Amino acid sequence: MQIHFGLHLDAMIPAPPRTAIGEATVGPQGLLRMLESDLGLAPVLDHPAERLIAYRGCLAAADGPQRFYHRSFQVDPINVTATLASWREQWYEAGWTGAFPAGLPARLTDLADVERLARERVPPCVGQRLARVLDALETRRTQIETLVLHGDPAALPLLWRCVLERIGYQAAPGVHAAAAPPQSDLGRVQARLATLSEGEAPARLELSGDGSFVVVRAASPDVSARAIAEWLRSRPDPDTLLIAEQNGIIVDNAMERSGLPRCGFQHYSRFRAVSQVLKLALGLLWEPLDPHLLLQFLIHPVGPVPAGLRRTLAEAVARQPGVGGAAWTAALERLEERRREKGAGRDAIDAERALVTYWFESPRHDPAAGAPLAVLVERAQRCASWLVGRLAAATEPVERALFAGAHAQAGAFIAALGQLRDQGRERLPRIETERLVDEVTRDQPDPALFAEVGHVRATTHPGNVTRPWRRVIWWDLKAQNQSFGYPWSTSELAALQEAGVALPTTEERLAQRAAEWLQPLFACEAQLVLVVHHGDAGHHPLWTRIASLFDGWAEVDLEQALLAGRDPLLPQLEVDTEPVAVKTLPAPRRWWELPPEVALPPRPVESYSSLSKLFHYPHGWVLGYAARLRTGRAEDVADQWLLYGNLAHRLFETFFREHPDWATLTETAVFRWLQRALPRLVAAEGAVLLERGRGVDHEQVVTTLERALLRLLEHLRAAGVVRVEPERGGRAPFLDGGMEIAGSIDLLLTTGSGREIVLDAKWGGEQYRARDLEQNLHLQLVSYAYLRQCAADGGRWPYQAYFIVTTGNVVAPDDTVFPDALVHAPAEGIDVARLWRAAEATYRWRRAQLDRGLIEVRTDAAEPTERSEPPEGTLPLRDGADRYDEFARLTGWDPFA
Amino acid sequence: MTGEARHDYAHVTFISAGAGSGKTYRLTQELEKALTEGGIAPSAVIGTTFTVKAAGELKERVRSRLIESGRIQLAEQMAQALIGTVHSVCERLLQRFAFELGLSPALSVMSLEDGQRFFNQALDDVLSLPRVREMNALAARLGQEDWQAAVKAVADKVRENDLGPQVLPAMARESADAMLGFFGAPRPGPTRAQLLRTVEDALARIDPDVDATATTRKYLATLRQARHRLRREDCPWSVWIRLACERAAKASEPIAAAVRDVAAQYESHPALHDDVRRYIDSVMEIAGRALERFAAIKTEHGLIDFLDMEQLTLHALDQPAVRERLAEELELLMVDEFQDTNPMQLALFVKLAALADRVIFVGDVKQAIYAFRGCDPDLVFRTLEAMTRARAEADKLPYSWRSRPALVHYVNAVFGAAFAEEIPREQVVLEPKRAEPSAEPAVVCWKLAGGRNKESRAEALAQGIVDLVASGTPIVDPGSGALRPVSWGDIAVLARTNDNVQLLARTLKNRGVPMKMTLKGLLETPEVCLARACLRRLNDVTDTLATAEIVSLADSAEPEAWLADRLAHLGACDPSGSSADGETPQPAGHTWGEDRHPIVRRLAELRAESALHSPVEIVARVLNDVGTRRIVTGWGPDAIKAAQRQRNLDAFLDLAVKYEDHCAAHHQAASLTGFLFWLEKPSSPELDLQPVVTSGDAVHVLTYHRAKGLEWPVVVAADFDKGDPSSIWDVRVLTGPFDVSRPLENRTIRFWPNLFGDRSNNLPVLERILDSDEGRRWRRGHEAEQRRLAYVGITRARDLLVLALPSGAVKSDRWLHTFAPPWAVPAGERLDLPDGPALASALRELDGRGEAPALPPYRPRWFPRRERIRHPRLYLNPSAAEPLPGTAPAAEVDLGGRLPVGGDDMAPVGSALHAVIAAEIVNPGRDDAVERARQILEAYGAAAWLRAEDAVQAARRLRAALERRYPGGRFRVECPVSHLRGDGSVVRGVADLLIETGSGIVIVDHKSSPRPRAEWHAEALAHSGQLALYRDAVQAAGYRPLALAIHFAIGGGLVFLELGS
Ligand code: SF4
Repeated sequence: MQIHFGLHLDAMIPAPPRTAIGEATVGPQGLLRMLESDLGLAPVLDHPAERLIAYRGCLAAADGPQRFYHRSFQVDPINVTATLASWREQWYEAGWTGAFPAGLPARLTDLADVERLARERVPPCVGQRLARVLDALETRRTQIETLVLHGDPAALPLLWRCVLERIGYQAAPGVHAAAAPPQSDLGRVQARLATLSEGEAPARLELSGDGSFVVVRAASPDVSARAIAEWLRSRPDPDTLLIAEQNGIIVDNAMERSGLPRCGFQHYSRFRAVSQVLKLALGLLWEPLDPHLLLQFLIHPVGPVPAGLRRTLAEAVARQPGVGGAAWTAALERLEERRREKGAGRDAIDAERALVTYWFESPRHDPAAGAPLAVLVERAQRCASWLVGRLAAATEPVERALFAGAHAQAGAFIAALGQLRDQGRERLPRIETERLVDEVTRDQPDPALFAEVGHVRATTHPGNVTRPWRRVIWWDLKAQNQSFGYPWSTSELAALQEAGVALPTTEERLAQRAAEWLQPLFACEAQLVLVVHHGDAGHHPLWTRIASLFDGWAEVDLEQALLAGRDPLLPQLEVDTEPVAVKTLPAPRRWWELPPEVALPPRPVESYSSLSKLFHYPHGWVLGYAARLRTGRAEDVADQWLLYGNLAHRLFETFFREHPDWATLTETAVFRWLQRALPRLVAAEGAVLLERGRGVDHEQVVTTLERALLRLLEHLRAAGVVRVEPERGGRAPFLDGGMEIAGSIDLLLTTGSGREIVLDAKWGGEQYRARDLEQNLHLQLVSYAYLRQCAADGGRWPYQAYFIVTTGNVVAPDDTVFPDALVHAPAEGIDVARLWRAAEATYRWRRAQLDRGLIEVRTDAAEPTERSEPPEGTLPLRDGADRYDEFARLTGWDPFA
Repeated sequence: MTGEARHDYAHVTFISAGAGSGKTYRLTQELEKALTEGGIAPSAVIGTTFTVKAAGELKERVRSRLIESGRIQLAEQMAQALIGTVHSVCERLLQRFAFELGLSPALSVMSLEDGQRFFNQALDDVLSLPRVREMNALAARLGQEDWQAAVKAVADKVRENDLGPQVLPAMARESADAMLGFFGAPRPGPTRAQLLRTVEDALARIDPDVDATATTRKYLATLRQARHRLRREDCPWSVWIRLACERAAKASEPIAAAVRDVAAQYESHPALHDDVRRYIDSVMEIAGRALERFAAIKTEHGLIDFLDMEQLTLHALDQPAVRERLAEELELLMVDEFQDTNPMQLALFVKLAALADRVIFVGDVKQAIYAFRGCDPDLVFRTLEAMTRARAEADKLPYSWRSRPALVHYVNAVFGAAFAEEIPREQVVLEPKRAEPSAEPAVVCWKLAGGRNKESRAEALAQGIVDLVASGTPIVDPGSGALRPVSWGDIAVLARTNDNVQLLARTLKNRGVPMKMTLKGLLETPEVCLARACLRRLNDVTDTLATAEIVSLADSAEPEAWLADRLAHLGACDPSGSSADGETPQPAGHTWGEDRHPIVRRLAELRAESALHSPVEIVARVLNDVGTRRIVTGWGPDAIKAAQRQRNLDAFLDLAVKYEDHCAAHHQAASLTGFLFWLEKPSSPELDLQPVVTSGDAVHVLTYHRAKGLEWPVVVAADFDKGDPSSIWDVRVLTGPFDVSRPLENRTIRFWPNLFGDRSNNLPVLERILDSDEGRRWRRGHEAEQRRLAYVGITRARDLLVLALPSGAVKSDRWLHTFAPPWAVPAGERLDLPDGPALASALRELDGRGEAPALPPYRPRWFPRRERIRHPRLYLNPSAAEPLPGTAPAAEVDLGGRLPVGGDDMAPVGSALHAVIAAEIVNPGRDDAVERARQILEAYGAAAWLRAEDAVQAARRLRAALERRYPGGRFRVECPVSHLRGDGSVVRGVADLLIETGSGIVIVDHKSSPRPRAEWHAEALAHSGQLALYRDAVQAAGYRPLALAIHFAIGGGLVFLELGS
């Protein structure tokens, strides 16, 4: 067997593929597996999390107040375990035997004590496996015939060096000589860098800019990647190597956009949607319910509850954040009805209901006290069995890989819970549960990313460049910010050395690293392209070296050149570009004019809200009611005033429905009812208020609501109201031609004298309502009044007023009905009938405009025109733009927005 | 030197570096010298800078100088130097000493907004509902809008000054005593009912028909409102205060005066005293309790914030183990921008200094401008004084390298005098080093017309800039040093507040002046709106509003076009019958765009993959696939804005990264929905900032604070006519006696709630406060801060300083007068400095009229649009190959019967068998074969299903049979096979077993299928494709394939195949 081995060759291999039998290029992981297979050693197959959990057990078993890790371990066992495990793994690879002689610094002796347990209980780490391999090599053979080492043997950890020496290896020729023509910029750079000698001040070298050494600068990695891809496209050369240490996926995305094959850069993430389901599902178990989390679960692309069911519930939750409220119940009823229509049997319906009960209505647990392990296990098992189903149904290997990963994660979680149960635990608090899930959720590669036929050769490590290439691109040469140096003190390092743990010094490691950086530079024969991005974090040390020694290379700043329209971007680098037509953003315009063939027909039924839009903000009516543009479900979880207002309405509605006898109730009785009803209402329809950290908000809303109801009752009594109908619906003909207007009156009151009152409850904005009354802008009250007037067959118009929840005040045109009202009225008094006629006239005016395809856009950005002026006899229009215009992004932009 | 705090600071040097005095150069030089001449190892250096960027630059400069002097290795070792912002240095130290300190070794630093969230949680936890009610009511009476914010502010101050909650009760008492002291002793006075009666009386007596003035009408409205509120028990004190201040018109004044008399007695109202005292007590008490809970929550979550980092590090330095190690390792401590260290950092540096062999503090006390962030310049002054007394060396950089001589003289004269009280003149003045570039004026005053109208004044200022550039005034190019006409990018406009920055920027922009600034509102920029709309549409197909936004933005389409299309689509849609899965019907017309619009179509495709990806991956995909960058380039309208748009898209992607980091730190699930929620509430204003575009020839508009550390050829200093925005209310720190080794001792928190809102006139209480010692001290501190800020702004100019002032006189209480004597504002062509040279100056009157500048046209280019091509996979796995038709079994060899095997999942058994066979073939016939096999079976979890003896038996009998059949053959197990095919694809796999014989290669593949012998043929044929691929590879590699076989390891047989073609 012919082996090529290098410290960084487990990932992408720069050498082009070829036909061969018995040849392999491998990194440490690959070689170790090969050796173990040849030598008949059992492989190590445990989930990485299991190793940590086992080591954590050892740390716990050896723990005591005198241990150096004791306090940290109590605070964060998981990260302490990970840190210390990495210590011992480094030591083993550097030749540790697992024990220390007596008298060493305390931290080392502590870990040697732990190791007595760990050696038995923790699956072996790389160093231990190498030691085993070395052992086996004494008596057994491998299939390896030749082994070529790429890179400096001194860079290998001790045990690797031992293994290689035992097997025998030859060094790859390497590229320490300058490869480019000596007179070219590149050649001169190489020569200078190769001959730098310590202590000798080098003179600065002026390059000619001949294009053999090119620097591409960019603000955005996306843009530089695209430029590189376009260059590779217009100037293909198979002898090109691309280095991208991190974020190679950006390069590949750009390749794809340029129509080139992907190199197969991998991207690791622990947040892929599939692997988040377990965490979301577990999150639903905690008190108080978190409506945002619930929505996340409901809208997630996948999950153990059927998508259609989730979608329906999502809508309900967005409207009334909570579980079990009116919207929730209605949604479930609707679902059931639809099932029945489709001929589903009782069993199927019950099964679906049970699903809802289990996932969303199960008892929730106190986060600090924790949930019973059995509950957690059941949840995880439910997820697991859903995943098994998906796995079975998945056809694409990509999907299978992901579902399998998520399944393994659920399995590991269940196993870990098992261990905890064995340790005598009964419940697990929320934080621990979440950490445990994190522990089993590892970064996973994206199985949908792979190398494609004909891709440019690429690698993620400069140390892998061990042969000459005609062209080398080093993309994203950036500052190296990882901290250097060991976590151990000088005396600990000395003690380790003495105990046979042969760690290279930091200086050696730095020198090593610096030498690796030079490899791609030396390996390049004709053209080297360095891609550097602007940023605050500074530059790559190699870049600093170059910038300190040379001047005058060919360079382009991409965004600047592109936006300045420079062509070519850089003569030395052929990147295809083309002019972009400048299309400034659509400007705000006061009038939209639809062509005659596009009709905006009237709607058969209008409501107060739709009319108000039509009158004041016709574009809002057109987009919302005619074009039916809707925002998504996750966009607006009801909150703040919108939610509080809804809660107030629902509170009043429930109260008056349950209490036809409200007039005789004592304040105490009302208060007692509030104490019961409010918490239920908030949990079911306003659960955002229960989220942690919103206690003060919650309290303010509750106090306000309590006070408001009591005040409302005072007002009603003072006005001699005898009957209250909450949410009283109504419908009446509107204009002629069969149109109707419909609406629901918050509170329809009737006084002892038989007078009807339309009372509309508003959360706040007392002054705003007052102004509405003064300026005849209270179309809402007027339209409700109209509904009642029609119901009374054109009889008397009812009285109208606002009730403001936050202040407990009634705002009315006079104090004849509500003696304690805040009085606001237009100077000339209110004539409802005339107002209603004005409303009809306004409708006709707007309608006539729409019939001609004219839509007025009343925003601040566009000046009114003559047409904007309403004719005589119409309602006054509100000043200014719609403050809550959900279509604001469609009504034009400042060109510099 | 590990023991006691040291009282000798001879190893400390403080380098006083006035503006433009070459601080960076000196710092670099000092560090380089320490490394080379001083022989200090980089790993023994700790250095802090004010920004991440400054840290990177310092390191790089030093590295560069080392390389230039041939010290290559030392340059590499700079990686070990601990140079960064205070916080990053603290973070590293805490990491290094995590175990000594009992901390998590992987501390997660939480963002400000998370801090706020956790603090709110802590508040929830420590407050009972009745208490919240009580506080709400109390705060409402006192007109305190957000008492939780006050609690947080107190809590922050407690932490900033390293105090404990236990000190709060006493401080609360002192605060209340001091504040109420100005109100006069409580004594019985008019009750609410009495005031109400007075008001009602006044209402009855003022006849609006008699006194119809606007003033009285307003006064009556006030009275009416007051009446309504006074009737209620919870009437707020602001009603009293207001009635004590308001006036009526002359005719009704006597009546109003009577009301005022009654209302003014609020000052000594016992109930008010009671409320104020209770409020102060409660806020501070709650703060104390919340702090404890807050700390517990953070520990639980393993999170710390910036303040914790400083505090933990400070306390870490009290631990002997830590001190010892640092004393051993730390040789050089360098602190840049020393004047801007907050109290805790200062204490930290004092402690660290005691452990270092050599200490360099660099800074300029004249440039301390962060009092509003909790810095205390006074503390810095006192520390430096004390250290100097204890033998620390004070060094001053004497020259100005930045500004032309005329400006240096100007600054010397103005600020030499302005700082005289705090700083001796010789500490202020610099000696110019640059040559005078031209005879052009150095200081110019622009008188901006427009009176009190800010917008008009901004117009005038914009005109000044347009005229300046049009005039071609020569400046010195900072890069080349050559004289050239001034250009947009040479100019900075400094404003006092962010709002004014926005106003000036808007005005410049509307004038067509190329301009850049730190803009807010990243999330509402059209480019980010487009990206968000795409994500919304991807996440929820029913978001038709998102579709409309995409269509409108992506094509810069006029509404008529897409609206007509949308209406047509609706006309053709019948939502009732069309739900994809029979659940909720989708809203009408949701598939709009999918058929025709390329972006909407692509998003629909991506949706199918969204289960596979993380939020960051989705965002990156969407930005890339939708072609956002090209679209926004087309928007322009100029190159600078287009560059900004590009940066905004980067910032948006970065937000997704931050979101995932946030989820990781909080152990939360991350999802696209979650990301969209997160964007809905940009809880931290930082997240909503647009990145600053550094490139481009554009005027830079920014605040004085942000200008720190920067320079421009021309600086236009605006807003010197502003007043002091700070107020004595809310939370402050008072200082007592000072001890340099314990700089945080004797600090007291004052908390005075503001009962008066924006009102500042006619308030006797406020006048008394400002007239008191405490008030005067507070005011002096603020004036000094204003002066320093002016110094920072004015010294940014290299060649030309413009003072932009309103055309009228500037009132005496304004910023200008905190530092500038009358002669400092140019009144003509010559400005005479007292006892100094005269300099060329100018005065210009600007009225805002003028032409827009002519700018080059915007003609951008971008990369071409390309077809999306799906290239085939490069690597093919043979085991996935389809069976080869026409294949037939050629021969069958019996290996000796079926092995006993159990279990229903054969995969682990199969893998284990493969491993055992490989081991046995490479090292045949070993004694420990069975033992090893057992270990292998265990590792695969197959030990219960197959006996080790049997596994070894399977291997041995196979080997024996094959050796018999191919005597002398060379066996290779688990053999890598790679075949580069004509179409460029590569078949890559590992063949189970190859036998090289003289006449060719035999290819064997193991199967662990437990099926009966009768089914072998069918099973073998199923794997023919795989064998065929191996055969092709062998052939392509230049060998002759001799035979192909499937080995039934469990069943005990070999089936040879004759492949079809
Ligand atoms: S848009 Fe939606 S509702 Fe309308 S026809 Fe298409 S699928 Fe059906």
